[in-house]
Amino acid sequence: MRVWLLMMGLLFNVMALHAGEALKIGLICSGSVTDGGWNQLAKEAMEKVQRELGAKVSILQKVSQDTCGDELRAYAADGYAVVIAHGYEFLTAAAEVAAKETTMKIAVSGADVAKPGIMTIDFDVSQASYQLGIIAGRLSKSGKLGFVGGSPIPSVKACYRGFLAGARSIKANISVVEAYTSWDEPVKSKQQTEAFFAQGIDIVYHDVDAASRGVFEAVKERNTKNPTSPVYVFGCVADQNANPICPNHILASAVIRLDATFRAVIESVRANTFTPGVVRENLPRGTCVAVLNPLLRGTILTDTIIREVEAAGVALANGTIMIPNE
Amino acid sequence: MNSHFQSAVVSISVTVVAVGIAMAFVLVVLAMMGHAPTTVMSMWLEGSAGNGTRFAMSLQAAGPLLFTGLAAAVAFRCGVWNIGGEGQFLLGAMTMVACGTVMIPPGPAWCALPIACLLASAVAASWALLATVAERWRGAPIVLSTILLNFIAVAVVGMLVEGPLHDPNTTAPQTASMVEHLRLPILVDGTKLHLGVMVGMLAAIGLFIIARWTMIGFEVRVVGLNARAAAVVGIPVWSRQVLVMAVSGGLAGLGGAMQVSGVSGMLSGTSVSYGYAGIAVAMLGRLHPLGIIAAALFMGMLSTGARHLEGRLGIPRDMGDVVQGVVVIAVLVGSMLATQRFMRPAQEP
Repeated sequence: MRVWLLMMGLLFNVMALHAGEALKIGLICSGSVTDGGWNQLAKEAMEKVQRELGAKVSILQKVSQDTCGDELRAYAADGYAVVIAHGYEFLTAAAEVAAKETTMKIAVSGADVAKPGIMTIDFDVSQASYQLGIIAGRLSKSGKLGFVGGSPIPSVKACYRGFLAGARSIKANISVVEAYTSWDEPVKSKQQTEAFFAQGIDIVYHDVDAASRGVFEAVKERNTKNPTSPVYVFGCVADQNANPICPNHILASAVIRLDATFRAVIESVRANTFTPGVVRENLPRGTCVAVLNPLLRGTILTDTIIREVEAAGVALANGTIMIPNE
Repeated sequence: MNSHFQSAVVSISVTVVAVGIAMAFVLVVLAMMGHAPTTVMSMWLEGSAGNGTRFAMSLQAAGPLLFTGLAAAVAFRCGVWNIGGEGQFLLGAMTMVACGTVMIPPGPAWCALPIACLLASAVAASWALLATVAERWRGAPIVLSTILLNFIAVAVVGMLVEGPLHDPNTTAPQTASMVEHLRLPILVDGTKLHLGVMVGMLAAIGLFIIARWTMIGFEVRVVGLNARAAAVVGIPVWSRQVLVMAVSGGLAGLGGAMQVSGVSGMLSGTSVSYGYAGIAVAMLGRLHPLGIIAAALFMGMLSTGARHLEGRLGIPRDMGDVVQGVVVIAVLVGSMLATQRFMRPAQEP
């Protein structure tokens, strides 16, 4: 009886501790959380973590590199346990704050450089992009593919390299024209995609975040004008397969499972096992994966293509296939 | 009633009413979105001045606005419509970063820091004077040329940030961090409230004294009120306008230098609109140096409070910008109405 009472007492203690002390988590985003990509994904991931872990979440959007340090210091002053600065551009400010902040934990997502006191999380989407490249290689009739990125930063170039390698694994002479426009100007990405189509390119892969709307609109308009020889597109970062603009022409998306990553970071803070250093998220860890459009499975995405994509996934995970660095 | 006193009372009243209208407008909008006005106000006050650290953060946010507000006010007082504070601020910041990374002035901090600040001011002042020169020799309106010079300055700074000043240790578009001895002393722990903000306040007081009690201040005011009349009484209009433009550009540049030296320690090349916000600060402060201190502090509190509201209640911080915009419109309309109602010149008999 005493043992039971003791155990019940302990249980109530733990429950009271968790109920009374909701972990305070901050998220700093560089752009709008309705961008349909990088920042929206972070917001949704954080909201999921909030529901699952019962944490108290605060989200700041449109934070610039220059003001990130102020936001971090404000969070520290408010007693936040952990803040995720969502973007590699926040690394310098985060490192400066971490050098003086001893209580609050700071993670920077999208960065791959180790800095004292902070956790950096690198997302390698190149392997998932390789799988998309296989689909493009199989489905392209013109042998010309297009890639449009927000800017030629390493993570975006990695997507391009993976896509190119995947496509060339199917057709050695296939070409991928690359162009870099803007993260948040759909007009520019739309013009670029239209220019791709004018060059005979029939499948486009993008990594442009909020500007993806322009890419999808260009695909929709092109297919409305010329439905007999359709063009296709891939989504990136978020699962954009169900995007309402052209859901029947988005073949697949290279998706970052940000919720799993954020959950791991926050649980490590809660368990007091948070360790500064670089965390690498990729295909083998199941956090950067290719998701095929369920609407197109069995039609355009034939069983043969799906098997090829899955086989490549296994080979990429076990290291049989390596993405070239240059 | 003393006309100076009457004018001051009307100015302060118009500003207070304008701020009240702007705040009420935003509170009504937020109430329609389901946020109780009392909660919003208490949360805003908590975020902007809830404790010493929070107030220090508001003061820090007021720092760059103080400089750009003074820059705009100095020029506007003389009838020189310098809208180029943004570009001048960025060029000052860029010069300071260049001094702190690749062309470090010799000597200890007490010597190198003022040299770097002077250089930053000189570069920004020279940039501002381009508009004056264009007006003098080709009749290009200063409003237009200063706006266009902003675009050029943003592009130049962006090019330098991604080129010669780029931090080789990162792929992010940013400069390297400045050397420690060119960083301004921090006044409050846990914040970046730096010595530069105090320098800005001293500059405001200095400008007030010059405008009120010196001949040159008087001449500048006369040129601003009526350049033709000033010329008739022998005031050198052109040289006063050149002087004012240089001081205005120099102040904006000094603000940029103080901001990077005190807060970020590096430059990202993205425009943070302090120059444009400075115009709103100048308007809210009714172009009076001491009024600008209060206006900059209000805008700083608006900024930190809006940040707090976003984090706590999910209210987009853009609402802070809405308040800023409505305040400026309300001040302009209010001052026009007040001039018509209270400051009408006496009827000729």
